Amino acid sequence: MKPSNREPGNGVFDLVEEAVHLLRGAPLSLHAAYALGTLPFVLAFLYFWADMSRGAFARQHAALGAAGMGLLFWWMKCWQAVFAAEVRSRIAGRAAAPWTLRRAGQLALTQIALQPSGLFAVPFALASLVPFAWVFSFYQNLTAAGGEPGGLGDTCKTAALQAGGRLGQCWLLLGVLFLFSFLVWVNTVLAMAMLPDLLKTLFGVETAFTQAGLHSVFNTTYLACSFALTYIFVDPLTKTLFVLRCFYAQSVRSGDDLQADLARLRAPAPDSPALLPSRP
Amino acid sequence: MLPLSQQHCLNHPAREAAAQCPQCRHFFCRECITEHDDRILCAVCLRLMARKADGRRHPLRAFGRAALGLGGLLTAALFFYWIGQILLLIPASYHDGTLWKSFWSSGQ
Repeated sequence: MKPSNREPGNGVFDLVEEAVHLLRGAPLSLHAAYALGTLPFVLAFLYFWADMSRGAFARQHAALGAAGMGLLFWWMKCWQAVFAAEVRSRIAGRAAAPWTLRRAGQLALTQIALQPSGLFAVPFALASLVPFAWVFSFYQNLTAAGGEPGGLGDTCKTAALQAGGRLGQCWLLLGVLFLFSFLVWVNTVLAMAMLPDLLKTLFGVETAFTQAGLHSVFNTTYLACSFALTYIFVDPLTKTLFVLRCFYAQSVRSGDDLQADLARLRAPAPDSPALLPSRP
Repeated sequence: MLPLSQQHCLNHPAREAAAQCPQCRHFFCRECITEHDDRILCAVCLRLMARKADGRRHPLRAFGRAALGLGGLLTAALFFYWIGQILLLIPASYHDGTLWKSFWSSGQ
């Protein structure tokens, strides 16, 4: 039977809507898990950028800084995979599996062995354009499937299998994400430019940004800051979208989406009429 | 493909099929199919899964894993080292924005 577009997981905007709904209803611990991994990396990257662009002795400690960035990149990818695993358990309506030493070790190994190649592969695929959707989807799927049971080979196989399916949907999803990211970036740049002036006008607070004038805007660190903030704002949504994509694709075989629906139906609704006091 | 009601068991052609294995996509009767971890699976696929889970570990596996991890870490470090080198190559006037100052002053 040919799948209709009304099936869950087929429509791009349905996926986006579901991902936003999931993130809005997620507990603080889920966002904290994401921030714990991403914020140290982003802050270190901005320091690395500023140091390499202005530091007098930058050339001497470039290698050491790069090694530190590599470690923080690993740290970030591990926590992003933890975030994806928790999102997946919420979608499936199941309690999250406990984080044993073995599971954490498998996740750490998967992320360090496979994710760094994406640093080269994704820009290269973007430059050649044609395989970009597959490559980008593959590395996102590695995060999405990183917390699942199975070894390195299993995770790699799952990510490749899911990346190969529904490429049209993936291209459309990337288009929507690009447009959304661009709008977020424009808003971030405007907010970063206006905030110091607003502080000065409303509260009389003079900062280095107001004193520097346009020089505070026309430098590469400012640009890097705006991109870093955009990444922090948009990436949780990207991760959730690819977790949803993987979940629905795997549900065709596992039936997890049906089990999640059944679990939701079995659970008593909080505002069930039976629980309300009867009117006289 | 014929619907489930018109299918027969792969192992017992005389019997009607009761379910389709999601792993191998073949049809089986009630006797040949089983439930494992909330999934319906045929006996062969279940045996394969169990064998895979109990698979013996190669003595060099730990070494291979460590090498993969180290390789990944080096790849990431190399990427950031190159980013650093590119940033070092860009003139300081571009980084601190004084490059644009000359354009403004020439415009005025």
